[in-house]
Amino acid sequence: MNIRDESGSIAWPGQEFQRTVASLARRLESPVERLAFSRRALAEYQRTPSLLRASPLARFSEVVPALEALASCRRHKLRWNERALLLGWRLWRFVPAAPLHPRRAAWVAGALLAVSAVALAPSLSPPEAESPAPAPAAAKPARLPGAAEFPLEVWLVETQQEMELYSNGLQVSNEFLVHGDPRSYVVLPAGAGSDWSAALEKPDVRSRPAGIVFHTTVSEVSPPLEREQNQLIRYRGRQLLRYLAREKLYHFVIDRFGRVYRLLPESEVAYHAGFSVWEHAGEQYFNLNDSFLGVAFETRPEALDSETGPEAAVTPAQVAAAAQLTRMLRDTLSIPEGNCVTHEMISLNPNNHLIGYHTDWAGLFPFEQIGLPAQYETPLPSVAHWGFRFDDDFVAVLGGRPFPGMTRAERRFREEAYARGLDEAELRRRRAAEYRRITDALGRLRRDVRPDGARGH
Amino acid sequence: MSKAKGLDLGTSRIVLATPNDDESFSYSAQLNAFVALPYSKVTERALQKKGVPHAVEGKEIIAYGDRAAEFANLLQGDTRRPMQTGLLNPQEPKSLEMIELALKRMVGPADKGDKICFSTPAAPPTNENDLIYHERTVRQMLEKLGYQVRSLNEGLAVVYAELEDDNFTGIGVSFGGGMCNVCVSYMGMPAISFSTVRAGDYIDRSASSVSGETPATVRLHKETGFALNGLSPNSVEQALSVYYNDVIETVVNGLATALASRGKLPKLERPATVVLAGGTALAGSFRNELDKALRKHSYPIDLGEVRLASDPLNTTAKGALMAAMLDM
Ligand SMILES: Nc1ncnc2c1ncn2[C@@H]1O[C@H](COP(=O)(O)OP(=O)(O)OP(=O)(O)O)[C@@H](O)[C@H]1O
Ligand SMILES: [Mg+2]
Repeated sequence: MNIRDESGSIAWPGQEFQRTVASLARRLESPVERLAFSRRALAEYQRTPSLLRASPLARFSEVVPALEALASCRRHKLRWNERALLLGWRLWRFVPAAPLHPRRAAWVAGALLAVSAVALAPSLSPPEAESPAPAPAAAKPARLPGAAEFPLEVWLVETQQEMELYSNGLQVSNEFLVHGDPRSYVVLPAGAGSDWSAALEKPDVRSRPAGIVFHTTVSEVSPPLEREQNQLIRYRGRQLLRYLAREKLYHFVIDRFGRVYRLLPESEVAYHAGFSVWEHAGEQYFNLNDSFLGVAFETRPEALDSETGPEAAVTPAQVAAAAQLTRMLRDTLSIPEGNCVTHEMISLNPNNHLIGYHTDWAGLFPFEQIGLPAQYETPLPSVAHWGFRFDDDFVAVLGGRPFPGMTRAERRFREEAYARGLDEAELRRRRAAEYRRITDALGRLRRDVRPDGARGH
Repeated sequence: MSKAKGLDLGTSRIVLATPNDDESFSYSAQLNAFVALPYSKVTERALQKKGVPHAVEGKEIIAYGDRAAEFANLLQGDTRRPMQTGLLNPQEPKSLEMIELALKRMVGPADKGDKICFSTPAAPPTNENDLIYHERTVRQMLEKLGYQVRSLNEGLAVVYAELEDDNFTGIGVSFGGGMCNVCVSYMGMPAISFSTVRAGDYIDRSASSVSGETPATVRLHKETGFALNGLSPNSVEQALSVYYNDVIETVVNGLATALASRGKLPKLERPATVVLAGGTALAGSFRNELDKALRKHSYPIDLGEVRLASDPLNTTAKGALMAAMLDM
């Protein structure tokens, strides 16, 4: 037999490394990304000096190459403490290259790495400790400070340099504006089990934004709002905006001082929503990048913490600005309030048929203060019609309790199965297949509608 | 935007995988076989109308793909095959021409920057040079169509397609027509690979010669409801069982030898999943029998679950497509 030893001189890492890579891989969405990451991690491991693998710092050689690989795949998937560790690591690698005696240099650098490790000790749990969100807090935190009342109509009063002023006091900066692909999407009738063929044959193609999805940036680069951090706050804030614009991630970003930045024109597509579904007033939207605007609040990672609540994550200035911005967008683009939603209400994973793939806002969005109805009460179409489910991880992020729209939707689905005389599992199976068929068909239509084929999400 | 394609260039079937917009994949397949028909205008027009890949050659017209089998049946002849045991068939003079025709029609020309990855077997037990010739030739054909080309071991393609949840660590086996391809993968890197040439065609040929039926009849039996569970009064099924078990044993022995002959194997964090793909794995009870056979040996790594791929006929093409998308 012609057995091929494919591995040549590969150094196989240990089990700890495998566990680290496996847990980090879960942060990536597509199988291809995971594969790329996994292979890169193994390649990075080959570059670790064997000196380190044998030293007291051996544990780092099991963690850092994996972080390095993840950083080169998807930078923003790294947490701040992981980034810090990586920085220490790069220093470590850099120092031995300096004209010192190699052994001594290695120890100097090792010490550096150790210092950075100690500094980070509390957070340096192995990455697989993807700490499940804390247990439910006693009660949902109180509402945020109220926002101002607005005049009835909103219009653009003036534009000066890169700043727009609206009649309700909203100011929008276009300093970071970039351009993307024009918007164009297909609207389908609400619900499941309708006759899609007619709707797909003569598709209702539109280009005006149908709604707004609210996000948080959950960015580790934003330093805490503390006086000592001022220089960083100024510098990093601009860096973040430039990054978000370059990646075309949102239409608007509201920084922590309540300043509103337009990154993309409303008539173009931003890649903010991913796999998602929403419906309102008899109309249904799939994969909302094409149809909805993305508005993000600059937040630090604590934004999702149901224990500290939204006060810790967003500022009153942000809430006030968001209320003004929402009002302006709804007025100028005729967006119904029912189409103003948060990311976790629409996000899903078609592969495992679970909702809550993205969790930002974690059930904490202050709808009332923004001047919107309590949208968390609206049954989610993903669950009610399409039979998507939610798992404990998502519920934990929500503070241990699903929001009412989730449980209502679940009940509706159950009722429908009963009414149709079907097993719930059977109805779920059928709906999953139907969902796939429709999104496939929409995917093909989309290619026809926009031949340049935009990026995923 | 450049596109990616994944191609499973199999002995009995060619499968093409392409990505949809929503990260799912689509597949199309053709039988990798052809038949030469006497030329007539009517035949040519019929082939054109039905979209059958074909070429006119002097007094003959060559029909390729799924329809070839139908025509062969009609003419009571047999189809001819451009490939044999996983590689270009040296005994078939039209081999290159037919593969080129198939690629042109199924894969089509590339737009700028388009990438393709095609599957290749592990070096055959007999001659490594055959594999080099095969790989280079197919690569050139695809490059001529304008693609950036890479190739991927078929067993590894099975791992890519199926072992995402195991972080691409485990054992992928494709039980095809001409070959069985095995790859032990560690985090997406191949550690060991090998192939055996006892697979679907071997079963057909051998069972045909002991039962007196034609290979085509035997294949029909095999592909329609045959299950590998014990004795059967029917002589064809009895023969099929015997040679199926032979195929299984050859692979299992191969794996035991391969694992034992490797010095330093990585320590796995959990037992290695074994995934089975390919047409030959579709027979009833195949998974059970393979599982049983595997447990008879001991190996330097722990084997975990033995399972069938989710879509065994498209697994290799899917893995190849993932590889093509890797650096996009
Ligand atoms: N339902 C079935 N039951 C048993 N065998 C089947 C079934 N369907 C197909 N086969 C057999 O599977 C084989 C083809 O499998 P597959 O398409 O995976 O091979 P291939 O990729 O063309 O070949 P190779 O990988 O060896 O180059 C044929 O021998 C065919 O008879
Ligand atoms: Mg094959």
